[in-house]
Amino acid sequence: MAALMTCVNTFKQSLTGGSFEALAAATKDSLQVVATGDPGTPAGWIEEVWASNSAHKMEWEIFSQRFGDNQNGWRGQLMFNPTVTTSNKMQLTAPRTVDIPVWSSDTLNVSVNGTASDNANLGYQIYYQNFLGSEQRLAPYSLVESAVKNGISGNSRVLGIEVTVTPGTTGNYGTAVALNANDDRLQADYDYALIGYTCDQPVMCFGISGPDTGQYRIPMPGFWDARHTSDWFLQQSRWRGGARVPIINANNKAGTFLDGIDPGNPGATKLSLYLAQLPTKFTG
Amino acid sequence: MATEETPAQSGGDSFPLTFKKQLTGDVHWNVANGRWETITHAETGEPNSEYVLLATIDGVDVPLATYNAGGIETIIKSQKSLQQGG
Repeated sequence: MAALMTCVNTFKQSLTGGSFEALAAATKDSLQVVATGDPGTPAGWIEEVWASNSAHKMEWEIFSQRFGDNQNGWRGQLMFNPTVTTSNKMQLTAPRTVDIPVWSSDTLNVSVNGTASDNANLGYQIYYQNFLGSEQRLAPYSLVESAVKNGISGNSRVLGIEVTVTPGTTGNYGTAVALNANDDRLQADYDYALIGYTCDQPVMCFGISGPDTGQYRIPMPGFWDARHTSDWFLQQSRWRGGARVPIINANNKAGTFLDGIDPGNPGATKLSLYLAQLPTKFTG
Repeated sequence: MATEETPAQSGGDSFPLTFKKQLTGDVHWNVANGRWETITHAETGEPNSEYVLLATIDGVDVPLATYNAGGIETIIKSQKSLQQGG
């Protein structure tokens, strides 16, 4: 059994407005928590929540009988700043270090109360501690920090690899693009730690998936403030004292894909992945 | 009785504003091809566009803000739908 960090993104185009209405899971995502075979301990935790609306503020909620309560559960607000000249107004809406448990096979509900005709999206990061049937290569902060600082003779490098990602036009994930589609500079056979990323415009969430992520999408919320995203995975690991830094082997570059999701059709977005080359093979 | 002039009554210059759509000209460096390439929308193939708010001051167009075209056009589409009764 192994740990796995993934996400569920949800969306609805053209809200009815005026009351809570359900969002649907995006492609390959599911609102059902995976079955772990152990109903007595949390299957995992919701560690992050992000949300975005195409034109106005909105209220959101995540609930189930075993998540909060079965009325409104975890109910939050999304502000909308019309003076920010960006395509969407995504916000990171969860506390940084408070992780909320989810239970084996439970089905979560995601709803929003917004303005009629707006498009709404909401997503969350789930970390499973004992995942059956798939495995990710995740490293702790301490290992990556040490590798970056110490380096090795001539081979330890921190690179920024640019990938141009287009979120879908209808609130779902867009076309996936390979990690090496236009910036093919990883050194063969080496492992790289994905420490964070920056993007040239806000996008609600990017995802990276491939052999090293167990083919599950690891989320990368495209927040406007690069200080939040440039060390996103290092901070995820540091805050929780656990392994949250994805390790990607250079040999898997063509099979590692990125995609994006956003309610406002922001168009082709330049995303730079900050990758630290590890001096030795990561063994987990 | 003398009254104090408010800022709104104090006059001053005013300038025409225009809102114009234009291409952003966004490019990325393609390492394999060794050249700058225009980035395009993965589904439509269109290059990125933006709306720019311009004030014309002393004959010069001064860009005040730019807005992502996809975001603006998403709002236009939803407002149109709303005004036409869904």
